[in-house]
Amino acid sequence: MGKLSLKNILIKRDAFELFIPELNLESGRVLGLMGKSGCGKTTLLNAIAGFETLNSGEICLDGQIISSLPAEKRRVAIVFQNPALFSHLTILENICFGLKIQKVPKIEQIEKARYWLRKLQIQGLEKRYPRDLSGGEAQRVSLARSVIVGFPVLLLDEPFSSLDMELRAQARMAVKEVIKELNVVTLLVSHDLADMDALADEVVAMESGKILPIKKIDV
Amino acid sequence: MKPIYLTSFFFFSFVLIFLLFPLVNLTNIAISQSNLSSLSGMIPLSIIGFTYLQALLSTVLAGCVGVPLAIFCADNEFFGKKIFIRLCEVTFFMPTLIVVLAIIGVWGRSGWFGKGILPLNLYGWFGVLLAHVFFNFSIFFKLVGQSFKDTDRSEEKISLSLGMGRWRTFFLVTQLKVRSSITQSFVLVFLYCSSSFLILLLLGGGPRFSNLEVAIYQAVKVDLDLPLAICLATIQIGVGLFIQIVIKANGITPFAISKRFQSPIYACKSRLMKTLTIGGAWALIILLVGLPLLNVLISALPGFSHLDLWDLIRALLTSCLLGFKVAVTSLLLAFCATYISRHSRTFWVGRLVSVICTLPISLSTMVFGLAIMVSFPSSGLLFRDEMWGVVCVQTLSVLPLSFRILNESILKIDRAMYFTAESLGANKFQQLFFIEIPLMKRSIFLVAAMAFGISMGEVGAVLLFESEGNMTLPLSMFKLIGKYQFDQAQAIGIILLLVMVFIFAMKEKWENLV
Repeated sequence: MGKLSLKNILIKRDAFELFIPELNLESGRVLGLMGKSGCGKTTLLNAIAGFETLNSGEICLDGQIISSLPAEKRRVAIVFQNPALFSHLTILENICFGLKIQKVPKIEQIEKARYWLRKLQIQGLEKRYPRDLSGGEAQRVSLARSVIVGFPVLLLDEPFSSLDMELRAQARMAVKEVIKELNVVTLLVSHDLADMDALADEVVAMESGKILPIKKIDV
Repeated sequence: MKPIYLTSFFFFSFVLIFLLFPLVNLTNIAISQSNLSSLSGMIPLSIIGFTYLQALLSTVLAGCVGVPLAIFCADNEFFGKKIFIRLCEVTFFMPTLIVVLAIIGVWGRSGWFGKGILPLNLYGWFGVLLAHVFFNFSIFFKLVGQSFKDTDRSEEKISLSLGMGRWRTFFLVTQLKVRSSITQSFVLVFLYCSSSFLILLLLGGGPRFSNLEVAIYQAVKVDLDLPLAICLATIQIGVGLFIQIVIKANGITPFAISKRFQSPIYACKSRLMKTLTIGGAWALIILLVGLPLLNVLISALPGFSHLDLWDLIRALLTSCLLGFKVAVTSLLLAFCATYISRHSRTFWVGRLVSVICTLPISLSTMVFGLAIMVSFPSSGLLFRDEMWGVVCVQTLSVLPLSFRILNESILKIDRAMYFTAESLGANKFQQLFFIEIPLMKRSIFLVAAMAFGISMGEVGAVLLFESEGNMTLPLSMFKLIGKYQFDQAQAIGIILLLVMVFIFAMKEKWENLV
């Protein structure tokens, strides 16, 4: 698939400053991002997704600058800590949301949705509403909704932190399988070493808006 | 083009043309037409004094009824509580004319009590205060009750466990928590009472009991003294703005809602005390609300036989058409304001929209109406529809409430939902149509129903822009009252009431469906 590269990224917000001189991510690899709260992990993810404006620098995907594009045109999928499912839509409609926006034919939408429902072991929930799901199910639906669109970049912002230990382990396994199958650039933010251990190919630590000099920790 | 530009264009154009320009224009005319000395000679100071004195007394009395009832209801379970609460809340949404007729029917010279038991003079202080309490105690009941129910009671529990009695706990702990809701209710009720029109016109009983609203109406419609009307309206604007500034400076938000269940700790413990309190509360509500409503229902029956069916249908259709126009305009305006307030990247723009939307609370339909009338003397130039003035005035009047309802609803949408939709490729329009509007459906129905209902019952603006084409149900009632044909007016009142009950029933049905 692709390559995501960040060059001289600078984001200034009041007293906070995030600066990333260079970061390259290959498809099929998972980069884990660790660090204390407020060190800039989520800000970096938001910048890649297009929710934060850069003061300077550029983000390229397969050599094309995407940092000047609005979020909806970047083809960067994101999964948040909070599943943020659309409460007025059924699970099937939630999963197909991105495909509907892309105007994919209805039959194809349902076919793809069924595949991911099966893959993530949430089949049978199609007609339910988000309020009827458990935390683990909701997080899997959220993952299915983000991966079904087939975007080349997947950002995971503490996707397991709201789950209990057992669900966490299950969700980790599901994500691992998905990442393996998709072969996309994946960036995972988490405080949990077990998440990194299970999913990340390499881990970098962040502090005060900077990636630490001890650049890469192989897990 | 992004939705934020479209909504901003619509909202700011509307408020500039129909709110800010007319108000500034009115003030400008008032300043240019008279110097201060002649101005003071023109305005009877007694009217200004009476306006705010009656508003103050009405507010205090409404609070004296509403606050104890709210506190009692929040923590006590009793037989018929649901009906009791409905009776307490229904008054605020009732058309003024029906309320006035109901009060006349019970307390008037030939009313149930007025004839023999309590021969009080309804026309004057008594009638004005009674009608204002009838209308506005529900605001105290609703806001204070909600806040009382929702405040965290752990401090009270600690206070009780440390040996403080319930009365002391109430005054030293709880009272501090509900104080802001009492202040909010006080400000709201004071504003409503100071800009009250029909109650003062029908129950005021002569020049001694005229407030600014009535004086403006009489200056425009009876004395044809436009300069005096403009001066009076300018005073209203000045005082209204002053109150707004006080509200903003003190950080009082007129509406506050929080939702949490708290265990009752102020429930009556003694059986006798509980029976007495429940009996007293029921007696008060029956006397204040139940009997007047019953009177309207009973007295209306003979009136039906005298009604001209064709005129009635015409008035009903006109009212519905007006209500529909106001509902659509209010919804559009309030939605645009809400959208800007949520999505504007600049903080002050959102703040400005919020200030503009709360501005009409402190101004009356009479002031808006006069401002529009003076600023667009030949309405035909702008609009062919002769109802347009009424639509604008009523839309502006319901703006604070409709903005608040929609704003609360849009703020509940999690930011992460927008981000997710955006990351999945949805542009701002797609987010609006696929996420925001469906999630706000309930509030949208509520605003439409509320605007429709308020417009159906409103009569001040309709009277000001009175013409053959806008003979609505309330206006027909007003004309019949003028001819002392109370039974026919009450019959129309019943139809109006039925329409409003139908609207609110439909609203609840829709809410359950969506």
